[in-house]
Amino acid sequence: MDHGEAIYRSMGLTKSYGEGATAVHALRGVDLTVHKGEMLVLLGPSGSGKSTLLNILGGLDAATSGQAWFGDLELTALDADGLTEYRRASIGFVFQFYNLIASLTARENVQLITDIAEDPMAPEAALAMVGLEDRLDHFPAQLSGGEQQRVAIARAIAKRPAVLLCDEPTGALDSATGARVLTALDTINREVGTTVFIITHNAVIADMADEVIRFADGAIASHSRNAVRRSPAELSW
Amino acid sequence: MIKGVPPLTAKLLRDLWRLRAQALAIALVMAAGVGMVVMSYGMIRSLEATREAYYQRYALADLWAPLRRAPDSLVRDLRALPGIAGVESRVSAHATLDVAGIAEPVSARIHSLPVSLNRLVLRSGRLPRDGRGDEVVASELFVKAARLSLGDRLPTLVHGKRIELTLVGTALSPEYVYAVAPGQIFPDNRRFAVLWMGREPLSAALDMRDGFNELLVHLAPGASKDEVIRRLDLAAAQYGAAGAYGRDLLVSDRFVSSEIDQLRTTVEILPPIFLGVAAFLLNILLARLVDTEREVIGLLKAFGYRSTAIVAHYAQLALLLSLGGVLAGWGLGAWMGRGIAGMYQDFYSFPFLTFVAGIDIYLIAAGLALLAVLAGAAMAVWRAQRLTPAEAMRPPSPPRYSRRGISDRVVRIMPDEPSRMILRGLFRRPLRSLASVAGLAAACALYVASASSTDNIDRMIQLTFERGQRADLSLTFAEPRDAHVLRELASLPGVQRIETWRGVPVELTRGPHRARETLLGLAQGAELMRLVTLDGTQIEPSRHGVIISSQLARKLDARAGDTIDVRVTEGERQRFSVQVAQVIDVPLGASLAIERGALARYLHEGEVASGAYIMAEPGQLGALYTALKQTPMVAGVSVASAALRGIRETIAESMGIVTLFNTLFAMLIVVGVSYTSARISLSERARDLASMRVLGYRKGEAGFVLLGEQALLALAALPLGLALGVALSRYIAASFSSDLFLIPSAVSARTLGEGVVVVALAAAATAWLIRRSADRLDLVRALKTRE
Repeated sequence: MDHGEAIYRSMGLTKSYGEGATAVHALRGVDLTVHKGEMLVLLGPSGSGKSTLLNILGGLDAATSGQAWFGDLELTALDADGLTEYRRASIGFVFQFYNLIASLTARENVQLITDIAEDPMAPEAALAMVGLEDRLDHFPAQLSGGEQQRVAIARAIAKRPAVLLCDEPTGALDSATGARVLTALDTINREVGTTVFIITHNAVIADMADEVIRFADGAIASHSRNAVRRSPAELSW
Repeated sequence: MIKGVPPLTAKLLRDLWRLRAQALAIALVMAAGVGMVVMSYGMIRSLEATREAYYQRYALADLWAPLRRAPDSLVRDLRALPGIAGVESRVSAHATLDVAGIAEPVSARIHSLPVSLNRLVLRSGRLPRDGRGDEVVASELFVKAARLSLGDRLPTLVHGKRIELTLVGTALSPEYVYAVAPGQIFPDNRRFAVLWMGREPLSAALDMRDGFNELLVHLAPGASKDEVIRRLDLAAAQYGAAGAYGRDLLVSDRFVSSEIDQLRTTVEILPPIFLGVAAFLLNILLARLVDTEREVIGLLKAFGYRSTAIVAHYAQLALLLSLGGVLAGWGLGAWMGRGIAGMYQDFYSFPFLTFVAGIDIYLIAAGLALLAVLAGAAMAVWRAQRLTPAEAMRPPSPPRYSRRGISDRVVRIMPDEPSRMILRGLFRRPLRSLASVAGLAAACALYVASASSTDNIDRMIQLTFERGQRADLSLTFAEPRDAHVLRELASLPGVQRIETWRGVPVELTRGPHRARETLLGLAQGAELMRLVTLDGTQIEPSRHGVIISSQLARKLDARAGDTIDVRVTEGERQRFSVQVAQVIDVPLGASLAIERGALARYLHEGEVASGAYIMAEPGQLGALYTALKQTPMVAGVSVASAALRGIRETIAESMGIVTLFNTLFAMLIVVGVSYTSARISLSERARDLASMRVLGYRKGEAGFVLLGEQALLALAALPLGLALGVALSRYIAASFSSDLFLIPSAVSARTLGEGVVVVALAAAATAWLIRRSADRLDLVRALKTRE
């Protein structure tokens, strides 16, 4: 079955920390293909390897062995500077703890990206997409957790990245606020066509994805496709 | 867990290890402060103890009474005076030596060999033998500087007679710890000698058989110095007494005292800077540590640890952090003390000078460091103590920023976000930013003030020799001479221009205030000797009154327009009153001057000269020196170029080392301040920097936030530091000035430039170190930790 052009491919991807008997194997040979414009949810217990995979695909970490491609670009062949340029051009990140710059306002946090991007959105437009058009000049300390996370999403999408990697984006939020954040991600995936990865512990969220990948013990335990994507607004936990 | 160690102690040790780089920076700054205290106080004590012991062991006289000529019977009469424990007569004279290998005539002071007062420390050879009239012992530093050996011949001109002396020994004398030719302030050991020889032959040369021309007096315990001086002057008046004086006016001792005063000034200025900076560094380090360890503190308190245990934990950390500084400071102080003691021994002729600081000084230095530690740690430790467990376990609310206020208007002008991050960070902690700026400025000021001492001396040389005393040579006649002398001197080879001068020793009185000086008669419009003030203004001698130096004015409590009573203390002993025409600041030299003709009228004499200033034809100095060595009427020669060379050599030796040390210390402060504040900033901004890197900012672009902040701090510090440096230089110049000399303050553009370079270099080195840490930041870990 063809779901469009492959954006990521990996073969035998492993990651281990330490050596010999004490070595920890975070990834034990992951083969994966991800198609452009998909919404993926990665599930699995802590330490199962999902974050490690995301970090490697996002250019934050290097694999121990195996290969990974972003389109035609072999990520596993890039050095640190090459990975920086890759992140700069193609990837948006959203983390559990938002990681906004406390000394910059919402608008300025987004400008941080639009300053260095090739063809960015206007910061105001990016913030409008996540429903924060009236909070432009607020500092992070003046925003709620959900608002901070939406600023982080606006910041991630403002450069129109090909891929948005979200590691536990709702982990620190209550259900209603989490739903608003997920709606923002869903909108971006549908309207801009950005490929979105969401890591979560929350199995309910899997219902909004095109594909669901379950991790266990450093490897993919199952890889399934949802027949129907549910709207985040319908989800509750 | 480290085995057998309580958990808090284990944490303490691990924290220390983790913070080792910052601990080192703080310890080094603290060590400099502690070392400076140990060195300065130790040196003051060593100098004072050595001086005291030396004077006592070698029986330095309490009073000196020069006179024209007195019979030996006077000594017996004086012994009967109350307050006098011992009297010794001696014969003293000025002389010029012709030393092989030295072109200029060497000025010398010759004394008859001491008996019980002002005894000599024989350093090599032996004392002259009785009956060997040609044998002489010379001051050790002169013999070394002139490269003489025992047995060398010394052709000498004394009192118009040529005598041939043989060097048989070298010696030190408590009277000449600092041996300078009259009117000089820096020793020139090659061109100034002190000689001691048998009394018989010296008396013979001076036509002073059965007589003497100087008395040395040892005071009885509890005797009043001033009272004894009064009686002494009265008893010796008929023998041409010039007026007795005490140790306080002994030139050598005044210089040693002035050195001790300078050490006191140093210890008042420098250690507080270092310890203050160390306290500030410790403060920001601990404040950050408490911030990052809120949860740990909360947890410990929740487990039942008492607040006192938490306070003790951080206090111990602060103390341990500074322990290294104190120990290193002790070592540094002892090492610098020994080094400076060695330098002093080349400068001051002490037979022994051991640097002994004493345990109390080491403890005082450690105590001062402890105060700085407590001041630095108090705030942070207090905060740790006040946290309630529940409050501590919650993450701190994100730092609050505001878009109100003038500062944020400045921020919003910035074109890019990284610059805004830098400025908002600086404005959010204004006190810390200001303290960092102050620390860096202090370092810059320290360098400028220290390096400017050379500028100040250069200015002093310029004022004294290029503007004031412009003669190549200054001659002092054995006896005052009449106008004929001009013709006689003009016929010497190589003389281009001659101006004579008249000087008489006088005692000045104004109300209860008294002073002794030489009253100088100078010609108006003179070319070779002019009065020049500290700011470079040239002053003509007045016909209507005396021009006096500000130091003398202070001593007499006199202002322009006041009248001073003058008593000449030689020859006819004229008395007259004279008005103060002007009070001026002069670097050194003439502190009491009047127009030549006016002086002659007061002295009821014609055109009489005490000496002459000579400008030589270019290239003819050598011939002139040779002729002068043969000219009997000349009792002393001082050579401007030689004096200059002496000053420059002395300065190059001593100031060079001191400036080098202060440069290192200044750099230490810059590195300490910028390293610690950048480290803290890195720790506070780790997540921001990691965020930027994850968002695709390159290493350099993210590093800009960190280093830009440090660069801004340094940039703000520079103008402040330069201004402080100039002020500090002025303060030091003023406090180093004594009644012997005034030091002008003249910081050169070059010194200011060097100050900028020193700060910039040290800051750049630090930036490089920090940049490496920033580049190695673990992105994933930094982002996944909760702030």
